[in-house]
Amino acid sequence: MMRPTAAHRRHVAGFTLFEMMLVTALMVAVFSALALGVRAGHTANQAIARRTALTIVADDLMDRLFRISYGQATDGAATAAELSALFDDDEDLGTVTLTSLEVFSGSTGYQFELANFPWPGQFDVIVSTDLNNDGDEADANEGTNAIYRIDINFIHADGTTERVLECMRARPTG
Amino acid sequence: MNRSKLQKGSALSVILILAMGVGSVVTSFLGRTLVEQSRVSQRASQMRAYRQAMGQLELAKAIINGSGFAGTNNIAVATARASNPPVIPGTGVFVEDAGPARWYRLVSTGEYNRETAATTAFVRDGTPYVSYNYYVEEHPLGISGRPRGKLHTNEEMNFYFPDGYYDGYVTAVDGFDYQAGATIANTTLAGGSNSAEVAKDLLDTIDFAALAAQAAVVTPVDLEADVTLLDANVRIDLYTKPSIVQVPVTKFKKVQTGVVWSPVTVTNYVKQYQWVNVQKSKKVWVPVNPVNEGGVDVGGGGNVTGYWQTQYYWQLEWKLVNVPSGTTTVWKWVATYANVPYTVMVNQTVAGTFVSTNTYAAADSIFFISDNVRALAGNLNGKCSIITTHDVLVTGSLRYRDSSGQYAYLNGLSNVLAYTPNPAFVRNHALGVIAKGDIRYARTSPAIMEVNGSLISTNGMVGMEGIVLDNAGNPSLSGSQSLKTSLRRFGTIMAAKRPVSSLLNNMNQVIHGFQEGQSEYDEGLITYLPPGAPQEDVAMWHPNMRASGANFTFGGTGVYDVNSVTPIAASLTPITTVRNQVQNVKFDWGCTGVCN
Repeated sequence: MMRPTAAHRRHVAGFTLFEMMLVTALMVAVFSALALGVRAGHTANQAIARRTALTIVADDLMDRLFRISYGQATDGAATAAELSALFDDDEDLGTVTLTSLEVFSGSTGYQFELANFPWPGQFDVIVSTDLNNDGDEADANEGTNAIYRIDINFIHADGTTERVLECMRARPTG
Repeated sequence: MNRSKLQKGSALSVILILAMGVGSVVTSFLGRTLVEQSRVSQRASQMRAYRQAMGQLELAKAIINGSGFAGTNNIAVATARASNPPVIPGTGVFVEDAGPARWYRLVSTGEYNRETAATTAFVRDGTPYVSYNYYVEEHPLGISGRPRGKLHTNEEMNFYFPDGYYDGYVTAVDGFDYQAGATIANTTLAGGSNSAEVAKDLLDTIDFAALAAQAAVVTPVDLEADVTLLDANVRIDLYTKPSIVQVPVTKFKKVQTGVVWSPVTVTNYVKQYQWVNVQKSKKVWVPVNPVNEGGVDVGGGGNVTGYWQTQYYWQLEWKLVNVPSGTTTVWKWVATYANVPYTVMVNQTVAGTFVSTNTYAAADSIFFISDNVRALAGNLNGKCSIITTHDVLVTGSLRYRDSSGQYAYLNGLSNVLAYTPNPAFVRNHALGVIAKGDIRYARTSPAIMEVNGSLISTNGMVGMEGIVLDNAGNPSLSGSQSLKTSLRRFGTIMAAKRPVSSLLNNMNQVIHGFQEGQSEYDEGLITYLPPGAPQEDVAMWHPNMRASGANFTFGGTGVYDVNSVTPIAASLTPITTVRNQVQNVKFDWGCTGVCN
């Protein structure tokens, strides 16, 4: 058998197929893991951003509901114009009262979409006297307009509802 | 197999190093993401925990507001203080004494996703009457300017003049009305309002017999008093009541005694045309701008923007007149008269006579005067109450003055300089004046006056002497006009009838009383209560406060400056301790599947 010459060996310099396959497999494994990590981070980022945006918006809504007049037991339901003034993007909250926003326990609240909100869905603002959210207004301190529970939910595009914020507001006594 | 030199290399090492580098970058990115996620998630959770804490506190407030009173104590608060842990029933809101009598601190903690937050509020289980700047039961209340504190009337609230600003809670049973340039648009009710409030009868609950029983001094009946505040002392001079006696007065009348035949000289006249100076008059329209003064109780007024003024002038005219032309003597029967005296009995008022004088220490005492207080004036360095079942006449300034000679407010006796709190004043002062009759500012009072204190008239009015009210509360003047320059008041007024210290005509000009004025609500009276001050069975709240420190890394002692009225205590329970004590009793928000 003829042994390869030095000149012949120069023409065959490089990596063996085995080496390349080994490195390739290693790189695939490493970058796959890295890609999974990046994807997970991105997904987490999205969830964080969504949760943050929802909470910030909900907190602003809650603040508005604490700034409007409490109202009287005889106040009628809020009109469309009053709701627009309350939930629009300026600081003039109009003449709506908290009492006029009351709905019965289990009823749909006031739902609206935010223009240019990056996540599809609707905010649902519920003002009721069901303080412990058990579906009735028969428990202690419920059923009067001395105190209201305020829930702010977000209804996703797929129909699921997520509660974002909850609070209560008592009638001022001056 | 041996490798040649040409087949040796470090490509794998390089690739691995590169992979590690990229991996480090990605790991760093993931790490930052996780940190950011943690921080943002923490903030969102804190926000939610805060809202839950706030909501629970609001529930406690509703429970306390709706609770009855046993004696003078709120039942919900008393029940909480007797429980362990001391929480408002149905909530996890912690209650503890806050320092001054009947003041309590409520602490509400919230927890969400391992983040915590807390809110606090101070409450007094009973609202002293002195929390009302103005309170009127039987009449409308006319108000203007920028008064602070609560305002209430059982009838209609009349806002006078443009740009009124009211930072306290304003209530009326029969609605709001706007006069003399005031409108809904230019009147600000910053502290909230209710124009359909339930009628109150707080004045009827004042028990004069009980106050007399608590009094340090009770003067004899049928003796009127001059009360002079002498800093730490009160001097009471007693007089008999004025009496009416009948005195004989001699008058003369002409009585005819006969007739005599006598010569009488008479003047002859002839008619001639002459130039005569004749007085004529004409009407001229004079426009008037409404006078806008601050914070005084006003009455009368109207919407007229001017008035017709009569102007007189002289003008020569050619007239037929009688001109004397000599005399003639004629004989006539002439009556003769004599002045005959006669006596009539006329009523005369005899002023009361001095009986006695005594000086007492003010010393947080009640001085019960059993008849009229015919003069009240002076400077007070301390706390006391002057109480009478009759009338009070304020004849001079009533001012708080501390031991260094500092007054509570600057420029109380000026009508041009700003009326502002005196930072050098050391407060431990309160004056209460409670009368069943009227509390009047005397016609003889100084042109510029300052009144500090709580003025309560259970059946009468607080206002200028000479102003009378009809059944509807419409004011008018009885007797002579008396125009004063300025009244500055630091305190409160409660009365059955409307207070009127400035009477306007229908052109909105002040015709009687004080032309300028300012009233400042004395919030300090709530803390430095005048002795015997009555109270309403309604909880009194300070605004909610968010406790600092999201995770309460420090306890906090809750010490506040007493001079700013916020209640203090030697030490309040650290919020971290409260949080641990109420872990198992917090309000259940009922997350049933829809909340995260």
